[in-house]
Amino acid sequence: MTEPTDLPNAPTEAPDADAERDEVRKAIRAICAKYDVDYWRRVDAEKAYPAEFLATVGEAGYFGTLIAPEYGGLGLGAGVASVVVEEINRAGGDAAIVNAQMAICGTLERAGTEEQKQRYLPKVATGECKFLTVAATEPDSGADMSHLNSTARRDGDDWILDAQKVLISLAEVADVMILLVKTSEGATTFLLEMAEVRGRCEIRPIDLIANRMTTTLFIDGLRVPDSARLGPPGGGLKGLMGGFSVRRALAASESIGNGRFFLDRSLEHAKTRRTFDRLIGSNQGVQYPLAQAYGRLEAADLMRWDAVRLIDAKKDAGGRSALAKVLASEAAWEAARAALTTFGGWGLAGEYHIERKLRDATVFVFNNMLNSYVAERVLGLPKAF
Amino acid sequence: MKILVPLKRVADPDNANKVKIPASGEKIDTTGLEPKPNPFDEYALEAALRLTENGQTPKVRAGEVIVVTFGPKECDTTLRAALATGADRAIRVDTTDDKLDGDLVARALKAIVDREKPDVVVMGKQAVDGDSNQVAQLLAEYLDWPQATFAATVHEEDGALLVGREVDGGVITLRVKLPAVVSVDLRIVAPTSVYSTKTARTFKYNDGVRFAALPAIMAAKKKPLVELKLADLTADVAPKIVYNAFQAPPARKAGIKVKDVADLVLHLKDEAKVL
Ligand SMILES: Cc1cc2nc3c(=O)[nH]c(=O)nc-3n(C[C@H](O)[C@H](O)[C@H](O)COP(=O)(O)OP(=O)(O)OC[C@H]3O[C@@H](n4cnc5c(N)ncnc54)[C@H](O)[C@@H]3O)c2cc1C
Repeated sequence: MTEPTDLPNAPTEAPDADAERDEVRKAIRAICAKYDVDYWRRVDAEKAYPAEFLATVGEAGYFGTLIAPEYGGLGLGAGVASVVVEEINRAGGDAAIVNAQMAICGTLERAGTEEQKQRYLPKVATGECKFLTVAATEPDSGADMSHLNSTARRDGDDWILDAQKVLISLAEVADVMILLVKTSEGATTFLLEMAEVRGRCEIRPIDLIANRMTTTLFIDGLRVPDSARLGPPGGGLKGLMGGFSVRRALAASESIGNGRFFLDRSLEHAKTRRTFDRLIGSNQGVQYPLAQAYGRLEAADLMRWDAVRLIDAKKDAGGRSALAKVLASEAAWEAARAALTTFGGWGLAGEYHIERKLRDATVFVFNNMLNSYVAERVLGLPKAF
Repeated sequence: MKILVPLKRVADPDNANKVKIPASGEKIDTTGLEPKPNPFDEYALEAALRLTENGQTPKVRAGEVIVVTFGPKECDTTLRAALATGADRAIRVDTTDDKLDGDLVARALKAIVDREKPDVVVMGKQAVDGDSNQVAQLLAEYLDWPQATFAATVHEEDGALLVGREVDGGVITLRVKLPAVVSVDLRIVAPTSVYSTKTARTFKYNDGVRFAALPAIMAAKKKPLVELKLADLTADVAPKIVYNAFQAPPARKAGIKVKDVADLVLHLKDEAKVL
């Protein structure tokens, strides 16, 4: 695998020119060089958990990027985390699990009790505890998280959980997950220790083209102690939403990494593949889609860095992070399209890795809820629902 | 154990075919190539780290590694990366490549060794840009220390190093008394190549050089990095080798395609005259 090189004409004073992030970029590239595209192709084909890669990333301390030092992390902020996921995707890997392990515990860090934080966060930082999942989506409630059918009801000091969750990532491997259910006070979150729960619930795979360890999760009358409750009853959505800006910024960074992967590969192909006795890259029909995709990616990247700047300054990054996520996912999608133009039929062949990354890029293109958010919160348009 | 590891920054060796030589022939132009640490020096750093720790999980430091480079301010990033990988201190001798040759580097290194008094200097067998392969040998000579070059294995003993060198006929094993100079080859980073006296011989390292951990990258910012002037190390800063001109090798003629095996045999016989 060739190491990703910087794109031509990237602004020399890029907003990420900051030396610290550059060092992290180089360090994560070195790890990615060891786990090359053929490794990821195998993991994808086998729908496997990339255990070796994650062990290396965990040993190198990346899972603690966002966790505060008092809980065993590094407290480094969204900028460093965003570089990590961008580089993994740019190298042809899939950063979904690293992203989840770095960011999902943010809800616990904000809403959890001291005892819950001490219990899980240090082990999340080392990777010993896989904290990879929020189980929210239901058969009848996806985009609309306000109409949950899953419930928790009080029984003495305990809670009885009944939940039907679908499209749930990594339930088969997670050690702890956050479950969103309804109580008489409203949406409420619980921490599920999967070693105990797994035998007492039903997990069935769903065949997805990306994020391939996705399942349904059905829980029927599971008793958990009140100490498993995360945040106040009725505070579940608020607890989750507190992390949305970071999660959107990381999703934007993943998309930028995906887009740059398409572009890196396409430029290499356009500069070496010959038809009609000349390089295909000398045809404007190949050049323009690549130039446009590059422009869109760079623009989205600027928005990403603006969102990161606000997040790390602890300012409201809701609008900026939503725009970054929308722009970056669309730019990556366009870059995938340009890659298909550049590669022709070979773009569909597994050994060129375009089709696999194209499937990865689909994960990010549902943006209606974010566009609604921008319309309402940023532009002040009337509430749609 | 205290170890000095000289590091050189080179133009991206994986893209060495992209260097240009201007019509004037005055230099080799590496513009546009990413600067990277010389791979053999990275192996030397890995070997030095293994020699100064108790290899176990997690590893425990038991010694000191000082990295030194010769170059401009930009080379600080190379040193910081080495500090992030595990080195304890760094020295940059401020100069530029065009003012150096192997002999001058060896003399300046001697001055640093005289000050720092390491037990061993571990270095790459050569830099992959100039490929001179001189500095380790010259340095050992100037220091009057024993040397073991192209090491594939190094096992620490009491007051000595047992060094395995791969040669055409097999492996030569040398015992060098400390202090000594060791230059390393590619295989030094294999899982069982290097053992300190503190590391159990059953311990297996990961293959290759270690990755810089994120906490270490952050901590490296606080590790000492000092700048020295070349003239402080040696009075005579004139290189002995003067490059008069650079020239690209002549372009190779395109090969020919033979029709079939009979045609191939004919060409081998009549033109190549090898049959
Ligand atoms: C790879 C992958 C992994 C996932 N992992 C998880 C997980 O770990 N945990 C989890 O809880 N969920 C997970 N999900 C589910 C994801 O959160 C949902 O797919 C998402 O919330 C949308 O829900 P839905 O698919 O039911 O779509 P629906 O809610 O049925 O919506 C269908 C479409 O209609 C649009 N739409 C709906 N209402 C409106 C409206 N009012 N205005 C405009 N457009 C609207 C939506 O944006 C969407 O495009 C995952 C999904 C995928 C694809």
